[in-house]
Amino acid sequence: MKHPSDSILSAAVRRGATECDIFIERKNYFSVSILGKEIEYIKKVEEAGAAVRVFKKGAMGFAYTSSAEHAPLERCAASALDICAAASPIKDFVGLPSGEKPAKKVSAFDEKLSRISEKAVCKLASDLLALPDGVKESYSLRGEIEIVTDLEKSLVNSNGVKWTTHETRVDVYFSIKLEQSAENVATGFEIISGRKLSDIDIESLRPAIEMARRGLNSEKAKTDKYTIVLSPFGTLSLVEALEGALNGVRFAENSTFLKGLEGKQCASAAVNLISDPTIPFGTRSFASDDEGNAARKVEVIAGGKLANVFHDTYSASMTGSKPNGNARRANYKTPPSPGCGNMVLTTGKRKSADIISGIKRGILIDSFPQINAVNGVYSSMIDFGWMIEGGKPGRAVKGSMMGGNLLDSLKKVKEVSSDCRDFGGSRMPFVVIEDVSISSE
Amino acid sequence: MNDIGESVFKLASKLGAQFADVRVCRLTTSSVTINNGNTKTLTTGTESGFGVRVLVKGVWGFASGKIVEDKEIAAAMRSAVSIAKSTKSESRVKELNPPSIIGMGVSDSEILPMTVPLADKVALLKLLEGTARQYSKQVVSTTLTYSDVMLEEKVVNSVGTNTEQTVTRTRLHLSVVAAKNGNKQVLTKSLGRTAGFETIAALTPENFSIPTAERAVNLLDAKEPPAGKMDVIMDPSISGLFAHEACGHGSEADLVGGGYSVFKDLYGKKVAADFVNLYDDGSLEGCHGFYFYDSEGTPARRTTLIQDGKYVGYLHSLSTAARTGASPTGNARAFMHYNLPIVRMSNTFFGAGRAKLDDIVKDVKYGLLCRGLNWGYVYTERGQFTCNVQEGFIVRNGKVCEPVGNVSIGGLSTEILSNIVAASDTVDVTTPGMCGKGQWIWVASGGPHLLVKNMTVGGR
Repeated sequence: MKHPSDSILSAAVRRGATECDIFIERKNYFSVSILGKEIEYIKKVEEAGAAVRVFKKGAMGFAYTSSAEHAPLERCAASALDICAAASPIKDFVGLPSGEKPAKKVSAFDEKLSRISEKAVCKLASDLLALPDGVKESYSLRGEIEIVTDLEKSLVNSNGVKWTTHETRVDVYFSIKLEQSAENVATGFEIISGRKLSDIDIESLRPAIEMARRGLNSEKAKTDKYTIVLSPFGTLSLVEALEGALNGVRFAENSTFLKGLEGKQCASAAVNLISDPTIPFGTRSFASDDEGNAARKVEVIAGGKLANVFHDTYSASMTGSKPNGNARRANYKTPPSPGCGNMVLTTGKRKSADIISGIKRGILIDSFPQINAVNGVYSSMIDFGWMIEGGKPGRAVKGSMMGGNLLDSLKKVKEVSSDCRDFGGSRMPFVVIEDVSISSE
Repeated sequence: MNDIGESVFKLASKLGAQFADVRVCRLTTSSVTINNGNTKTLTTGTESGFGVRVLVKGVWGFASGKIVEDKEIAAAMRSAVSIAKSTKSESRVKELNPPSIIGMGVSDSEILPMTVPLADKVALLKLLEGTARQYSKQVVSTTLTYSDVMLEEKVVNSVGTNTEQTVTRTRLHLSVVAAKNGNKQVLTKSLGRTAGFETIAALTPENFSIPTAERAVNLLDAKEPPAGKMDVIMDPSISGLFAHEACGHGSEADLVGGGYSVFKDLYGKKVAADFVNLYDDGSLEGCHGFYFYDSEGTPARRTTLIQDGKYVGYLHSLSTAARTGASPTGNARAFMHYNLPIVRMSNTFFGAGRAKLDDIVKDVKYGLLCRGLNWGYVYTERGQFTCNVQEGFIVRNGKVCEPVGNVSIGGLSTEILSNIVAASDTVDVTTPGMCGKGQWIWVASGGPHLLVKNMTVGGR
C-alpha cells in the first residue's frame, strides 16, 4: 500500500489547516460462525478505507471514505476542512506528533498465519465442531473464528510522521451448552487470542466442556457478603471494565469515578497494573499509536496508587497532560480515542490453589459485571460462578446478583496469585476481593 | 444503484450454486459531539461495496468486494463457491425456492439531514446541550451526540428478486453527569427514529434537555435499593429491553434451531397470562428498526411471537424458514456489505394491556417502579436476563415513594414472562438501539408498563 500523496496534506494546510493526518487501513480476513452442530458460514472479506483529520488550532474535522484512491481522499480532506470550521478550537492544543520514532520493532505479523489457506480455515472449523465428540450429555455449540491474514495500516501527518505496519491476528470463541433437562442447563466457554498460526490449538478450548459440566445442578447463593475470587477470566473482565474509567477523555469531561484520584490510592497495595504495547506478538502490541506517538509501557496503578491514565492528543490537551502513546482507532471510520496496550496485572506470592484452600466460604467468579464508569457502581447477575466451601470450589451459582462499587472493591483486594494466564499478551492472575455483596432471595 | 448483470447468476449456476444473491450497499453518515460547551468531534463519511452469497449443496459461502462491476462480482462469486465447496458440513438447506420480490422504497424524511447547514445543526445541538449543563451547579458534565445515517441497499438474487431501498435515520443521545458531596450519578436520554432532521428540530430545552438534567440531579438524593425479590413495574423502555433481549433473541430461529434458545421447546405452549402479546414488526414506519425489505429482499412485516399468552412464532430468514417449513418473516438483516444476512430483530415490543398505569401502581403493596434503562443482556440458552435501570422508586401501599438508584433487576426469561400480572393500556416503541450479534443493526423496542411479580432486585 503506498502512502497517500503529500499533496493532499499540503493542500489542506494551504486551505487553512494547522495540522492534518491521513490514516489508511486494509484488512483481509476469514470469519467462521458455528451454531448448533453445524458451520453456519465461512466468509472471506477485505475491508479497506481511509480517513482524513484536519485541525485548525485544535478544532477537528474528520471524514472517511471506503476508497483510498487519490481523488476520494482529496474530497475527504475537503469535507474534513469544511466541517472543521464548526468545531471548537482547543486553547492548549498539544498538536500532532512530529517525527517521533516508533518503539523498537514490535512483532505483530506472522508470515505463516498470513498465508493460511481457505482449506486450512475450513478444516479448523471442522475441528472445532468435532471437539465435543464423545460428550455424552445433550449439547449445542456456538463458536466464532476470525483470522486476520493482513491488517495493513498506514499513517502520515503534516508534521512528517510516516509509517506502515502489518499485523496478523487470530481470535476463537468457543461456547458449549449442556442440557440435562429444561431446568438444568449450563454453558462453558473458552477463547484463543493470538497473532501466530502456532497460537491456534483447538484442543486448548476443551476446558469449556468441563466448565459447562461444573455449571450443571447450580444453586442460589444466600444473600450475604462473600469473599470473591476472580479467576483469570474474571480478572480480565474486571480490568476491561476499569479500562473505560481510565480513558483520558473521561478525565477531561469529568465523567469517571477515578477523577481526582491521580497520584492517590485507588486500590490496595497488592494491585499493580501496567499497560505494555511492546510485548512481542501481543494482541494489543503496536510500535506507534494511531496518531503517530511512540508506543511505551505505562504504569497505570502502582502499589494501589493511580499513576497514569490513557491519553490521546485531545484528552492530553484538555487535561494539561502529554499524549502517552495510547491513541487507538477501532477502524478507519472512527477518530482516535484513548485505548491501551496489553494489560498486565503483576502477580503475587501464593499459588491460586493455596489461596482458595484457605477460604472457608466464598465464590469463584469467571466474569466481573459491567460497571458504571461515572461512579464505579456495579450490580449484575453472576454469569459464571462457583461456591467455595471449606477451601474447595463446589456447586455452580445461579440466580444471584453481585453488587458494589469498584473503587471499594479495588481497595478490598486482599491478595493476587502467583500463577496467571496469558490472554494473547495480557496477563491476569487470580484476585481475591473481600466483602462483596451477593443477593438472591 | 448499479444494475447487476444476469451473467453473474448464470456463472453461479454453472459453478454449482443452487441459489445466489448479491447485496450492494452504501452507508453515508455524519455526527456531531458536543461536550461541556465544546463542539468536540464532527465526522462525515461514506462506505460502499457488495457481498455475494451462494448456496452449494446446502452450504453457504460468502465473499465481498468494493467495486460494483460484473467482473468484480464474478470474482467474488467464484471465491464464495470455492469456500462453500471447501466447507465440510452436513447439507443444511435441502431446497431454497423463495418467491421473487420486486420493489423499491424510500423512507420518509421531511427534512433530509444532509440538506441542513452544519452551522444550524450545531446551533440547535449547542442550545440543547447548554441548557442541560446550565440547569444546576450540580451538573458537572454534559455530552450530546447527534448522528444521521442513510443506508442505500439493493438485493438481487437468482430467483429474480430485485429490491432497492433508501432508509434515513437520525439519532440523539444526551448524557448528564451530576455530582454532590462525592456522589456522582449519570442519566442519559436517547432518541432515534427512521426519519429526517425534523425529529431533532422538534426538540426544545423544555421537552428534552431540562427534564433529563433534572432527573440526573434528582438521582443524587436516591438511596440504595433493597436487595432480594420484589414486585417490579417496568416502564416501556425496560419492558422493551426485556422484549428484545430476553424474548426476542430467544425467538431468532437460527438460535432456536442451534439449540441456543430457552424457547426452543415452547412453541404452542402457554408462557404468559392471556393479555400478554409480543410482536416484532419491521414495517412500523418511523421506528428506529424500520425497513422496507430485509437484506434478502423479503418484505418487512409484523410477526407475532406471543399471542394471548401462547408462544406462536419465530423470526426467520430464507434459510431457517426453508429448514423448518415456515414462511420467511423478513428478519434476515446485514449491516455492511461484508456482513452476511442473519436473523435479526427490528422493532420488538409487548402489546398493550387493559389496565391504567395508576391502577397498576395502586395494586402494589411493596415494590419498585423502574424508569429508564442503562444496559441489559441475556444468555439465550439459559434464559438468564439482567438489566440495569436508570431510576427506581419504592412503591408502598399503592403510592410512589422515595427514589432509589443503581438498581439492577433480573431473572429467568420464562419465569419473568409467567410472572407478568398486569400491562398498561398504552404502548411506546420509541427506544432506539444498536443490536450486536457479531454485527450491528438498527432496532427499536418498547411496550406498555408491565407489572412483574418476584423479580430479583440487586443493589449494593
